[in-house]
Amino acid sequence: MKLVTYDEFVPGLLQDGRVYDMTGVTSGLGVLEWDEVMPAIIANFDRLSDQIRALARSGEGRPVEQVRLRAPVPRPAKIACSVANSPESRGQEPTAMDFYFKSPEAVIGMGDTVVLPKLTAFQFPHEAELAVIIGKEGTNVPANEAMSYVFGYTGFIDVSARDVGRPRVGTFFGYSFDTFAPMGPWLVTADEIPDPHNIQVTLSVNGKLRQDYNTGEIAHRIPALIEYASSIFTLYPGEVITCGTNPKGVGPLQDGDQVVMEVQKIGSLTSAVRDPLKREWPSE
Amino acid sequence: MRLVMFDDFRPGVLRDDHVVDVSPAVADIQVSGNSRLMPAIIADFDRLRPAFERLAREEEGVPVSAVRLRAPNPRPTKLLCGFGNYYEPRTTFAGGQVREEAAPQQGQRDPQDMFLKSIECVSGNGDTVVLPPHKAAIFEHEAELGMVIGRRCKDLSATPEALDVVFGYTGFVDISGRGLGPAGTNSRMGKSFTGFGPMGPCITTADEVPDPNDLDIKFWVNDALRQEYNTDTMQYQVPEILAFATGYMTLLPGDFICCGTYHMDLGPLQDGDHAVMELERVGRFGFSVSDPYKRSWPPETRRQQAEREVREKGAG
Repeated sequence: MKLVTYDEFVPGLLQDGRVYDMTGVTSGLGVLEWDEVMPAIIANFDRLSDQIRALARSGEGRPVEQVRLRAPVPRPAKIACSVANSPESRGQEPTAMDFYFKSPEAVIGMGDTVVLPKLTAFQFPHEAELAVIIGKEGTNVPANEAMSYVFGYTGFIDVSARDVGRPRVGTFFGYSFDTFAPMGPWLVTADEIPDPHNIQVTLSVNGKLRQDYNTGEIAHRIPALIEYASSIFTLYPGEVITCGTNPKGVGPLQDGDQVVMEVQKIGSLTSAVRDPLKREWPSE
Repeated sequence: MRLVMFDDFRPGVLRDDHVVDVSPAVADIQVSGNSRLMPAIIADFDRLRPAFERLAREEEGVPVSAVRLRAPNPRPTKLLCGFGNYYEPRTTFAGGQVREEAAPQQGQRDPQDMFLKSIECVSGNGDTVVLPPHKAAIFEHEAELGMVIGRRCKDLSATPEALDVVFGYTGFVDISGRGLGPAGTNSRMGKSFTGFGPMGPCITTADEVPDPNDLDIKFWVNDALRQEYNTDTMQYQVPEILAFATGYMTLLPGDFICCGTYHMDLGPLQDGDHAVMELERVGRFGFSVSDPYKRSWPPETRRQQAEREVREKGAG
């Protein structure tokens, strides 16, 4: 199943190119603020899924091209991003797992614009990643149970300002500017991606391919990531864990760039880039 | 006004040593759960304040000792922490003595930085912080000034007017497991374990704190004073913290920022400890520490450890 958030942060079912409003299925879920809607649907999905599927038979969908797609979970309560989960660690002693939190206010959706801040940075690179959306509350989840905590997947571009803040410390605060987390285009439920460790991820800037890797290359797989993250903090439905990237092809974003990320079995996420300071970086 | 959450996360006003339940004044606020109530109160405070004041005047309330105080902002929408942000005394060892010189003021500040801590880590007065099994080199306390944001804001300038976005101030301990993550990185994840953010005892509204950069902080473990400092020694004072943070991200009502601390008086938290933090104009709260793995460290601050090692070297 493909789930979206669209227009004024309305939850939707996407089927055969049409979007069906899911607001009706939330009527029994209590008071929900705008950012709690999709997490509540996710948390109650088993109970709601028949009702959601029936929406597509109602014939009242709108063509997806006519809606404004938002990030499928427009403001996740927590976004835990994997650190250094890249292939060069493999074959050697794996680098210990680590995470940083990315500000929920960074999230933008399909077709939105990454706006570079005015502070001096070495570069503003893109990191194309597969993102896991959590399906149920979990603490100390063992790796062999972890996949049952995955509700679905979406595309994620982890944008950052490099070499800002304290040198050599790695606070990762430069990952948390507003607009630095394009996410989407939609959430695909886990049943549609039985093997998330064999997903091709590409990212192109202005039509030129930059990143092209398979999620099978990441060092620490999703069960290990969920096990480690949940050993530190409780995970809740709708929250995001990003799987890291292959750094090969990661490059600078600059004013006017059009970015297209494609995730196999999910789809294409488009982002624009704007820099009020019109800085330029060589792309190679 | 001093706002608290107590018992089953009811909102209250702290008047002297009594808690007045203000739930009746928020009966029409509809939120999904406890964690959303205080941010909703904060966002609507101008409207609610007269009702809170009336209840605080007219109701007797109950002694604070008769309730269970909770963290006043138990699940912030974001939890930002200042990195370092205090002038660290320079410690030198010479002639068998520890000498400390304060670092030069202004113009010699470390680059400003912050990080995000888990929003699940907040705990409250009387809670027990359970140390996790992770193999940290040590778990240390960092008692800090905390502040709760009162309204949505972005791109603030570092002027006194920036303080207008602060709803109020509270005590906060950024408990930190050291040495975790890839070798040499001292990952900030060591600060994000459940319970690693004791907060309290109340939020003192900003109108009762004329200068957040003139507040005394004290922190005891088992009645021994560990940290004692004034927030005037912050490298980047509160308006600059707000300007820095809002230059990166939009802040929301209910977001939480803690302002950093200096490191010489940090010490371990270990099994059986009872800790108390006091923040001027806000008050005092305490928590306990438990470690199923019974790890132990000498109960001394980094400064005391340095002094002890110098003495031992001299004696040998």
